[in-house]
Order: sequence, then structure tokens, then C-alpha cells
Amino acid sequence: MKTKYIAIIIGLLIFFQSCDKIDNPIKDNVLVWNNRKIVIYDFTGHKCGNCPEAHTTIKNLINIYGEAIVPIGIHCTYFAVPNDSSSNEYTYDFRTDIGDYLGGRNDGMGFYGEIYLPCGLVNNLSVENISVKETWATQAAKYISTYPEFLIELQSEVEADKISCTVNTVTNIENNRKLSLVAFLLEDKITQWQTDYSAETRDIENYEHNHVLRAGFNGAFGEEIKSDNNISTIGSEIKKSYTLDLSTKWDIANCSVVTFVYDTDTKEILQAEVVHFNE
Amino acid sequence: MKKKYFFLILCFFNIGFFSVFAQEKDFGHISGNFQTDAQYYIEDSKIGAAAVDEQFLINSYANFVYSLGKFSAGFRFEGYMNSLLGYPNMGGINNGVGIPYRWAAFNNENLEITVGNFYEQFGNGLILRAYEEKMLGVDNAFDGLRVKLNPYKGIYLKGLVGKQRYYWDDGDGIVRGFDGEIQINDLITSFSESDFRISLGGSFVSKYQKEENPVYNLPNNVGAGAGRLDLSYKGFNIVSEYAYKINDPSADNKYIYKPGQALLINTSYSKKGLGIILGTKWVDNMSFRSDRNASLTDLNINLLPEISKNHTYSLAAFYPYASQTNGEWGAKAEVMYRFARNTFLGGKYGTTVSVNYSRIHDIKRTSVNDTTPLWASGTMGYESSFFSIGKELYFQDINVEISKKWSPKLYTIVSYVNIFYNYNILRGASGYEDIKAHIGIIDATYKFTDNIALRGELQAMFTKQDEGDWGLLLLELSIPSWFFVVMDNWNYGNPDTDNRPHYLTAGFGFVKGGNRIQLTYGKQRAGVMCVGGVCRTVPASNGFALSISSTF
Repeated sequence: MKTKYIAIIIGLLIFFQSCDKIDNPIKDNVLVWNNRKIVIYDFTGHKCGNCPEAHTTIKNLINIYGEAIVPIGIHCTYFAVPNDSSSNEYTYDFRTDIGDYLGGRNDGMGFYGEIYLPCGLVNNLSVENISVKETWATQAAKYISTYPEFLIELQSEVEADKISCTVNTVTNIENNRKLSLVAFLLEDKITQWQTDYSAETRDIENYEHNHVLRAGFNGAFGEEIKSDNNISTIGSEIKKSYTLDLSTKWDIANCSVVTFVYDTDTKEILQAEVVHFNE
Repeated sequence: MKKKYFFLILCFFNIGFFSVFAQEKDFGHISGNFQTDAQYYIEDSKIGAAAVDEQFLINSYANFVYSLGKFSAGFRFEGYMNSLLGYPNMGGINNGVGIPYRWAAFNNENLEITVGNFYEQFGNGLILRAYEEKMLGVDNAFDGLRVKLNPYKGIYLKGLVGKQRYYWDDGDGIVRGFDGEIQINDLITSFSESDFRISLGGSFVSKYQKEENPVYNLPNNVGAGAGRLDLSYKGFNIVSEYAYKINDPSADNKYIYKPGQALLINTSYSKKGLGIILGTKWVDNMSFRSDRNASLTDLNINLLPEISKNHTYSLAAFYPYASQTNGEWGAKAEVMYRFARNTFLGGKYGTTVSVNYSRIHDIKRTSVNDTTPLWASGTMGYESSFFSIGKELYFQDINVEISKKWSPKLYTIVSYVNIFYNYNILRGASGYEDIKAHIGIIDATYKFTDNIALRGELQAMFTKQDEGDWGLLLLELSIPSWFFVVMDNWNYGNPDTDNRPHYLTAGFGFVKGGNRIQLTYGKQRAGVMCVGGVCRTVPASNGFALSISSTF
């Protein structure tokens, strides 16, 4: 009888030794996006024949990374100069004060100096980070699986002739960065002329221009919202509100508000958020 | 499925039938019980009570147990036609009629075997407790095989394999468990008469669920172990258990891979007229379900015992504590003292005073590194030191209860309860203020004769948060076999002065032998009901409620 009991006990003990300890939680060749959004400045112009290739690069990145990619199309330099009203083409003016300041107006240089379109910035606003489109995918991949140090809660609404937005920046990982916050208004689906060297017809009349910078709520480099290197504890919040005068030039149904927070010293963009008015 | 149930019932009664012929004298024994709770719903927009398409919903249960010598078997009929509001029933998953619980067992020479459904608990339940609580709609019974063995005096072994009940089906996971306990005083003859009693126990539970996640390497098998030590010496008693669980990424813990731990210590001392209880509980990432994607009260393998007092008075239970399996630290202290008869404080019949305190915090967590936020999926999630205590207060309860018999006819219970309730954490919400509430209760019973009594409750809750102040008045008259109840629960202090409803209820019931029938009409406020730290949301309702129960 005792032998039977011992056999049962040993059998049970062997049966229950069942634990799988996992050392590598993420499967091989799997991309995990941890909610950090990646801002891409695309310096562009409607008369820039190579610029549609940069637009395609952004489309491809959106196809891969989805909402993680936050593109901002900044029309600037002489490629953005419109024809006069007597012309039948390229009369639409995409230029903005912020675009002029950053990229340059007409033949003048902007903040980023002498730039050759298409070019851009991927998640870092420093001058030395100006890069060609061929490097954007590599740069984006560097950020995609990192965790956002901040989360952004963004609310925006249109009332009468004003657009308002409220941005709440919440610390997600403890850090001691100085912080600045930028808020822009973008517009999608603007159908206008575009030069495209890769197309059979170089001058495309009904080209769809997307994520076009329309205006800034708080300037080209935003507002410094934390000016010291004190610790930002997890869950701590910085709330800011801005307003912008509405322009009849914009189709608000196709507009969105983009906001991002960056390190004032390193210029690294730490997190971004987007609200579309048609959602 | 219905054919299967029919076959089971047929087998069940055949067992009894054949036993009649097989054993001339011992026909076996059948026992059981029945309960049905029905409600007719009336829409009442003022209190947010919804109407239902069926107008009338009903939950019913009936247990039947047959026993003959070393053999026993049983089944439970359940019918939800359709399920009462507030019970877990997402997408109508709980609606239906059937026999979800059936079992057979025999006991032969210290070996007990159960097949079919069964409930079980290892130690204090830190790594395994299957139970049912109809009030909450909880039933995580096993469906499988259990073996209990008593190979030597003082040594008790248990092993089980099974799937857990998931409404009318079984969950995906398979649970395997083993528990051993040694009662030292029974094992060693020379200790058998000792006042110092020692019990040692250990258990191991493993669950299997196939890994099919496209992103994460999930463990197919998750194991948890626990060790316990119970000591007692005369009036002193210590119950303690420590549990450890390996990586168990799940929806509950946001798919982190940190192991879980839990510690439970309860101590008590009692002698005539005095009882003292001290206890503490520390829990870190100890949600343990047989389906890693389950939620709410579904498919829990373990149950972490509550440490706060489970109040029974309505307003004292208004803000009940819900156990936080992802992490909590709690402590409790309770002193009960009975002032003897014919003393200044005891009076002619004695007075009992009970003071209870409990406080529950989050545990302390730090990031695993500088670039990873807390609770990041696919990581260890966070670091926490053993028995660390976080700053965030979840719950606090200070209460005093004085029970006094004034005369052979009059008996009173007077209570004061002070509650702190972290609304956002305990309700899974955001943007709400923490609740700070004072509650006073007077409960008086006057006996006109030995079997005619009138009981009254006067309760008031004062708080500046949430829905503000509440009052409650209840009168209950008991006469032989009958009782009559009227109650008004009034939200007289709601900050919204246009929304201060009365929740009036009136009812009566009949009780005789094992039968109880109760009919009430009234309004029920929306709230949360908890039993043992497990909670469910109770929706507002208005209508008739009928309850019938019987045992045989």
C-alpha cells in the first residue's frame, strides 16, 4: 500500500514541475512600437521636382509605422514661391511665417541655413540633424521601439473665429530635462500644382498635398515649459493652452493640430500628439 | 450538450435506483437546496434604472447531492432566464439553462477521489482557491480530477488537474496543483497533547495555456509555489503564508514579466471577553488566472484574502475595498472587549466594544532602467523591494462598534465608521476626488415577546465628495414565520440639488423550516458590492423582487 502511495506522490510531483521562464519576451524579428511618436519635418516646395520622392518616403514610413509617424510639410525656399495671379498654374501660396523662418523665403536662408530640397529633420530639431530622405527610415527605426519619456494629452476645438488647443504633458519616465513645447496647425488634401520629375507629366495639376504646415500656435520653436534641470517625477503634468485666429484660406475639416515636446538643450523630440478635426 | 446533461441525470438517479435493490437496508441519502431570485424591472430615469426587454429576469439554482456509504455524487441546475442585471453577463454570455456543475466522489482507505466539478483551496488561497459566490456571480469551479490522500497520521496531500468554469463552458487553461500539509502534533505522538500546535504546508500550482501571441514569447506553463506555517499556543494563533509566482504576463499586469510575490500574516489572541487580531498582507503582481486574457471575476485561480472589514450595514459598505492584485500593502488591527455584567460599563447584561482599523497602500515601484517607463509591456515592468510600501493610500477604515443589551427586550448596536476611499484606483476611474466619509449607525431591536420583534436601523453618511450625504432608515417587524421590512435610502446631500432621490423599499417574507419566500418592491441605488475584496457593479433598479429558497 505504501509503495502505491509513494508512486502516486512521485507521479504528482513530476507532473507539476511545469514552469516556463522567459528570458527574451519579444519574439525575433518582431517590431514593437511603444507609443513614441516620431516627428518628421519635410522641407518641401510645390516647384521642387524631387520633393514628391520625399513625400513617397513619408508615405512608406506611414505604411510601416502607422500613426507613429507625424509628418510636417514645410513649404519654403524659392521652390515655394507662387506664380503671380496671371498665371494658370502654381499660384497657390503654401508659405507661412514659420516656414520662411525655418527654411528660408525666396532665395534667403532660414534658421537651418542653406538647405537643398528635399531634406528634413527626424525627431531632432538641431541644425546638424538636417538630413536627406534616404536616411529618414533608418533614423525613424532608431526611435520606434523606445519608450516615450512623456505622454501628451491634446484637446483642440474651433469656436467662432478661433482655434484653441490645450496640451497636457505628463511625465512617463523620470528625467531632468529642460522642455519646450510646439503646437502647429496642419492641413491635408490640398489639391494644387506640384512639379514631379519622376512623373510622366512633370507639372501635375491635381497633386494632393498633405500635412502641410499652416500656422503655429506658439512660434517656430514653441514655448519653453520647463526651464530647469529639476527631476520630473512620473505622473507630473505641465498644462498649456493656446489659441490661433482662424483663416478663411484653410479648410478646417481637413486640418489637424500637431503638438510635440522636445529637450530644449539637445533638441530631441520626446513625444508628439495629433488631433484631427474630422475625427 | 443537452443530451449530455440528460444522460448525466439519468445516471445519477439510476445509481440511487440500483442501490435500492443492491442494498436492502441502506438506500442512500439525497439532500439539496433551491434558490431563485427574480426581478421585474421598471424604468426610472431619475435614478438611472433601465428597463429590460424581458421585463422580468430570473436567476435560479438547485443543488442535489446523493450519498451512499463511501460514494457521493451531485449536480447543480442553474438557470438564468435571462441573467439579473449587474451579474457578469457581457454579450449575454451568462444567459441560459443547464447543469454546469456535476461530480462524483468516493473515499476509500484514506484516499478520496473526485471527478467532475469541485471547489478547492490550498492554504489561504494565495495561489489556489476555487469557490462560488452567487452574490457576485463568481464561480471558478474546477472541472477535472482531484485526489486527496492521508498516507500517515498528520500528513495530508491533495492533487488536482482541471479546467475552470467559464460561464457555460470551460476556460482554455489547464490547472495542475499539489498541496501537502503536516500537522506536527498529529504526526509526533509525544506532541499530541501539547498546547503548542504547529502546522506546516506547501503547495505548487501550474497552469498551461497555449502561447499564440504574435509579439511576445509567453510562457505556456506558469508555476506558483507557496509555503505556510501556522502556530498556536493556548489563546495565541499565527497564520502565515508566502507565495511566489514566476513570469506570468497577462492582460491584468499589462504583459510584464516580473515574478509575483505575496505574504499574508494574521495573528490573534483571545481569552474570555477579549479578542485581539493583528494582520498584514503584501501583494506584488499576483493576479493568477487560467486564461491570461481573462478579466473581471473570470477564471481566477487564486484569491487574495481581504484585510479590511467587510461591512454589512448598507452605508458602511457604500465604499467597499476591492483587492488590488497588481500590488497592495495592508495592515489591520482589531480589538474586541466585553465589559462584564454588573460593572460600570457593562451594565446589567454586559457591553461589547469592538475597534477595528485597516489601512491599505500601493507598493513602492521603481523603473527597471532610465529609458523604460513603469508597466512597459514586454519588460520586467518595474522593480519593487520585498514588503515595500508606496506613498499612495488606497483605503483606510476606522470603525467602532458597541453592542449592548439594555433589558431582556432591548438590544442595540451603535457604530461609527470613518472611511478613506481612493475612488480612482478602486473603481478604475480617473478624475474623481478621494472619498472621506463619516458614517454613524444605530441598530436597535425590541422584543415584544420571544418571537415578535421590531428592529430599526438609522444610518447616516457624511461626505463632501461624490454624491454627498446619505441617510437610511429601516424598520423590520418579525412575527412567527413572517417578517415585514420598509426602508428609505435618501441621498439628501447630493451636490446636485435637483437629484436627491429617495430609494424606498418595502417587502415581506415567509420563513418556515427550510423554506424562505420574500417579495419586495422598491428602488436600488447604483453602487459596488464586494465580498472578500472581490466586487461587482450593481446598477440602479426599480421594481419587484421575488426570492425563494429551500433546503432539504
